Amino acid sequence: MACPEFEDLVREGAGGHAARCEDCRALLDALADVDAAFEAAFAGVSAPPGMAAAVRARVTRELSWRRPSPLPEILDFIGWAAVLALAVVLLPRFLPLIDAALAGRG
Amino acid sequence: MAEEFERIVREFQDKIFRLAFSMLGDRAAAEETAQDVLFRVWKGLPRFRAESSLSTWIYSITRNACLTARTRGGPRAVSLEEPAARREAERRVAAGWPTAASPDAGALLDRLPAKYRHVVALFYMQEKSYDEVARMLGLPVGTVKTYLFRARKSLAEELARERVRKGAT
Repeated sequence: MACPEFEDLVREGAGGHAARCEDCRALLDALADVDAAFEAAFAGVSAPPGMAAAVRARVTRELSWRRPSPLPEILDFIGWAAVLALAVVLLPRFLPLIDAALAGRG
Repeated sequence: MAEEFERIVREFQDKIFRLAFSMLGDRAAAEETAQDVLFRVWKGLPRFRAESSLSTWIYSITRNACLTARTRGGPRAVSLEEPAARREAERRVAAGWPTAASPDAGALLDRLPAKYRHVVALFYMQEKSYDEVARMLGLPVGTVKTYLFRARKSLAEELARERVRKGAT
């Protein structure tokens, strides 16, 4: 009697043709062992426990880098304050010169 | 966005890791890639327009990240030192199973063509869900079924032949 195709053999299981054919029974046994080996190796594989925490930490780091620094604003303020102070200090010195120049023109 | 991202981490971290592990064959590389994927998801989330489903988008990021990681580090076989495999081997020894007759998953995977390898590994990681594996790999369900059938058939035939040879000698 001819052996069935592999697909039919798997569908029939051990109770069908394989019950009478040693070669097909060996093939089904081998298939069961292949499945068992893969189940043992891969079933229940999940992400390592620290993985999500590591991602959250990376996100937090990225967010802190992204937060705009107040330094440029502070430097800008100091710069303009210095310019204003210089103007206040220097203006009385140059005021007579400006007055004289204006009077001379008049 | 923070809540949405938390939900994604909870829902997808295992799947991303499994997909990466099945494609890279190495736990450390899979973890590194999976972290990178989740970070990219976080960065891309504000621009995600839901033209595709969220899972399709995440899996395509994962596949691309794995392909990049693979070209950087070269393909690796699935390690035989996986805890689950080791535990199972120890359990079999303790139970008095004939260990010589029990093939190990890593050696079996190594015999398969590359295109079948990650389909097989992912199928068993994803509790034998054809649909989920197809979604994760971006393949038609029929292709996943065909790959699995051919892979299991060729391995079973090879194993049965080897046993006959060993029995004959």
